[in-house]
Amino acid sequence: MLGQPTDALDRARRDASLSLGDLWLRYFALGGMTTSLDVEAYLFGALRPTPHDRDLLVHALNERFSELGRDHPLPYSDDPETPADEA
Amino acid sequence: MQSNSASPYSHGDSSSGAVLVVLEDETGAVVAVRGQVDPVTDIAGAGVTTPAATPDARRGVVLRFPSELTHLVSTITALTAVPEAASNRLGSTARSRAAGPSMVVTRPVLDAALSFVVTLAKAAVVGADGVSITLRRHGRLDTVAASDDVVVEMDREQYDGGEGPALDATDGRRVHVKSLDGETRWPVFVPKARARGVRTILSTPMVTADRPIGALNVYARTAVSFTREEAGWAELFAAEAAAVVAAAGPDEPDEPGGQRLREALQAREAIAQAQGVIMHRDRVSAYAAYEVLRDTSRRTHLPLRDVAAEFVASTRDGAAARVDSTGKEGASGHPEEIAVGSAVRMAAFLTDVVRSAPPTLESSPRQPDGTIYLTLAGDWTGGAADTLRPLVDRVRRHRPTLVIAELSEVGVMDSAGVDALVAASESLLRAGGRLELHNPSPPVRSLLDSTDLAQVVRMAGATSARGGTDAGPAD
Repeated sequence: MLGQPTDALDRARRDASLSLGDLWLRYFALGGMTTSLDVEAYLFGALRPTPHDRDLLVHALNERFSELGRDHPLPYSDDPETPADEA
Repeated sequence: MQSNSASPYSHGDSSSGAVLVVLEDETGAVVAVRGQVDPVTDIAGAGVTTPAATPDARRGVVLRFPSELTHLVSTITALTAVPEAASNRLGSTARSRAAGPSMVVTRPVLDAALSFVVTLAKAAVVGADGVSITLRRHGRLDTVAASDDVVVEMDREQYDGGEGPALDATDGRRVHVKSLDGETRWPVFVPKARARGVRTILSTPMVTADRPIGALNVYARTAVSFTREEAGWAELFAAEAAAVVAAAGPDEPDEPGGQRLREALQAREAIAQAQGVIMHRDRVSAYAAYEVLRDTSRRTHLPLRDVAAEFVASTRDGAAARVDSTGKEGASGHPEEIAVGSAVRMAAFLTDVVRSAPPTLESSPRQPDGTIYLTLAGDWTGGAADTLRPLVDRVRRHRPTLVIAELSEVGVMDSAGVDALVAASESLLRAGGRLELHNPSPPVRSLLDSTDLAQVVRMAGATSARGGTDAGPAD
């Protein structure tokens, strides 16, 4: 239903060496509307982001990965080929 | 109330334009269309007037709700949150909320967003003569947006007297006074309301994070109770107003550098502008517009902000200048000017989006196979849609077996337009022909899909906004 567990987002955040504040600011720059507390809650699974908010976070992370020369590894909610790691 | 309380509404300004509120679900499909003719001057309180210089022109605003409102609010919100360092250079109004958190909200712009919600609510709720928003600020109730002065007075009577439906709603209870005749709950307030000609009141709580923060008040001069549907609309706008307030509230990111935050704000502005351009160009929702930008960013490996800035610059000369004007390096503008300027541009964009184009139609001669082609263009809304009928009557006399209506140039269609197509279809069926609709734009298609028309008329050439394929033929 949710595609990937939000847990994956936090793994990616650490992988990309972004602090929570960094990630929130990047998400905000992309037009994100929720607070840094909300974003923290998404990452730790306490709140479920809307697909759009989740995509904004994914894109913020992907831009970071792009800066690190690593393409856009994280899938978006409407990607057909979402790697199915759960049934 | 702000100093812009001298509202045009109460004075019967002749420069009227239509406000059409198009309600969409989360997929962008049109759920309902509402609207009434109303002056739309000083939109969003941002000092922008609709170009009403030519009184004969049909001018108006079509608002796709909630996507365009969300779009507007995100722009305003981004630009009203100013880091404290920058706020030291702001005027006193902007500093008024600077105590404590490191972010401040420029209140005039927040209030402009709320005025915008009021405008929409008044246009959408059938029977509404006035709308206001009551907000609790610094422990006091205040009217922060209102459609006219009478409404402001009505609210004030309640705050002063310590009773009334607006006060009850700010405690979290919805209050619907169907008629003030015989109403006994507020002995001080009721006579004053009746003296001002108000008969019906609907006050809906605005709630954020389970906490009531204010109320959206709808007043009517006639004692017609609001239907459940109208109450539902009021609730929608109350929720939207609450979201505006919540989004603009003080928010503290983890140690934001002033410069980084400024850059983030500039990125948001560029993205919002590009979204607006795409929404206008493709007539899609804000979300779909965002996806266009995001996919380009992914393909090109350019940051979304650069894609957006590039896009706007390449689309419109004026817009390109605007992006430049926000500056890439340092502060090239007063933060508050940027904020207000952005709201002004957004309002200008919205008035620009759908300047109603008159409906036009052309018909081809009857083809050897019995087909007649119609081409519809412009906006098929309201009374203008009636112009379809005489043409269909004329076409009918040629006994076509098939009439194909090309809709790709149709800008906006409302229920009157749909009704006209239904009537055309029935009229042709009676004469032994049938109607086909070709190439409606996605918004028009989703409107058509939401009506019974899709059951009886074949449509071709555009996929449903809901993801379906062409509807099958009726027979």
